[in-house]
Amino acid sequence: MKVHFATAEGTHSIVQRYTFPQVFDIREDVKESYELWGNEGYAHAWVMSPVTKLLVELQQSMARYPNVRPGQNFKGYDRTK
Amino acid sequence: MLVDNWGWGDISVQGGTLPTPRIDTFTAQGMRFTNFNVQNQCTPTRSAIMTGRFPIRMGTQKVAAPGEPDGMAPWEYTIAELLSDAGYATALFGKWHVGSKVGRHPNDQGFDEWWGINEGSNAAAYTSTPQFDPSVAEVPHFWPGVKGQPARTTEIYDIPAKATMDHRSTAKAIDFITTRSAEEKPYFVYLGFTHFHPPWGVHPDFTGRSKAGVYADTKMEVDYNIGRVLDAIDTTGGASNTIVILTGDNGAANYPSPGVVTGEVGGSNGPWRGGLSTAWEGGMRTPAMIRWPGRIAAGKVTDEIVADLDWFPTIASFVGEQARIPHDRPIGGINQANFLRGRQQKSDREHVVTYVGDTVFFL
Repeated sequence: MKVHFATAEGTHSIVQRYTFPQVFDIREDVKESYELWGNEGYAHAWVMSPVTKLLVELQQSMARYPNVRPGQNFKGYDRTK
Repeated sequence: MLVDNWGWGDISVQGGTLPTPRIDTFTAQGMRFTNFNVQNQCTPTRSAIMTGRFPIRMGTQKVAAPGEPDGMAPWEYTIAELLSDAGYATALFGKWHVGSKVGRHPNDQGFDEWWGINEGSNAAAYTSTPQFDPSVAEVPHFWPGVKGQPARTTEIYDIPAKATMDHRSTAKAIDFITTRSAEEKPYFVYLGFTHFHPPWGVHPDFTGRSKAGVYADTKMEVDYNIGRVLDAIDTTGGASNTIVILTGDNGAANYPSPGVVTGEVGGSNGPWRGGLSTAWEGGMRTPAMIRWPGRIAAGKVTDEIVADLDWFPTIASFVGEQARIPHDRPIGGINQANFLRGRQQKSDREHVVTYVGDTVFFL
């Protein structure tokens, strides 16, 4: 399964963000053409349970280890704080 | 070996109609991944390979426009630094694209030596634009560099120079492999091709050779150069003791790009939707294969999920240097050594998450 929060149709196209995430079964639908959440009566909303868990864990980790900014002369995390 | 901007379907074993015989042989000798996930642009994938870390954590989550702050901080610990610390001779030839400035070049990030370009492959076209003004924008050059000294520029990197660059990068890699082998010195070579990235053009030996256009000519040259490297490894007698990895940085760009004439001339992302710079599968999956005769089963094809992030810990494990993987920072890569060696049936990776710029696009 794959959940899109945003997509772009091309290298030089605009980014589209969705009201609700777009859900596709990429094993059966390799063209990512049939969106499941909206087209199947919201039956696939459950997919967000594991997805949200993983994203929350990632965000918590990024809070503990803030992302290095582009070009930043970063020299390491101060773990004494 | 990292091929620029090729698509999942660009190799004949994945549906490409133009034969890629040397790549076919490579796949028969090793393991091929049909669900190998990268980032959707050059810089993020290349940085992920280097450190096993999410690009968003390193500030390399998108291709920087010329002049923007770019590159990995010297604090990042690359696979070249790890292998160098473990006693390997290290070299990079070709495209780098994860740090354009002195201090963030390959020779500043663990490579004993490098030759290539600091920016994207497209920089070759800058000086061909009628509006180009060298008083406001740098003229792209080739950069040779050695560890411990600032790299310097040599000849101009322009469209004719790009056409022959991969041939030269390959020759330099072969020379490095041959020399280090003769010295019985363990080595790590990163060969970054600039094919299949615009501006288009091939080595004169391949001009018109496919009779199917410049993209097909390019494919023939890429296949040929990959074969040259494999021949060099085999000739030096190092095949059974050399891990060879072939992959790409993102999908091909040959798909409809609404409202824009992209100048792209070919490329196949196989059955997948989208390509370069999209988050559809065509942009996120790239050809990938590994060869290690006697250690990794020959002829195996897997659809298990593997990612660019995974090379760093996997290679460290393969060479017995896992203890050098840093613990003071999050490493997103997963050690796939047991899976690749056939000691387990499944990859340990169950998902990939991808940021494009600062936005999470999908999981």
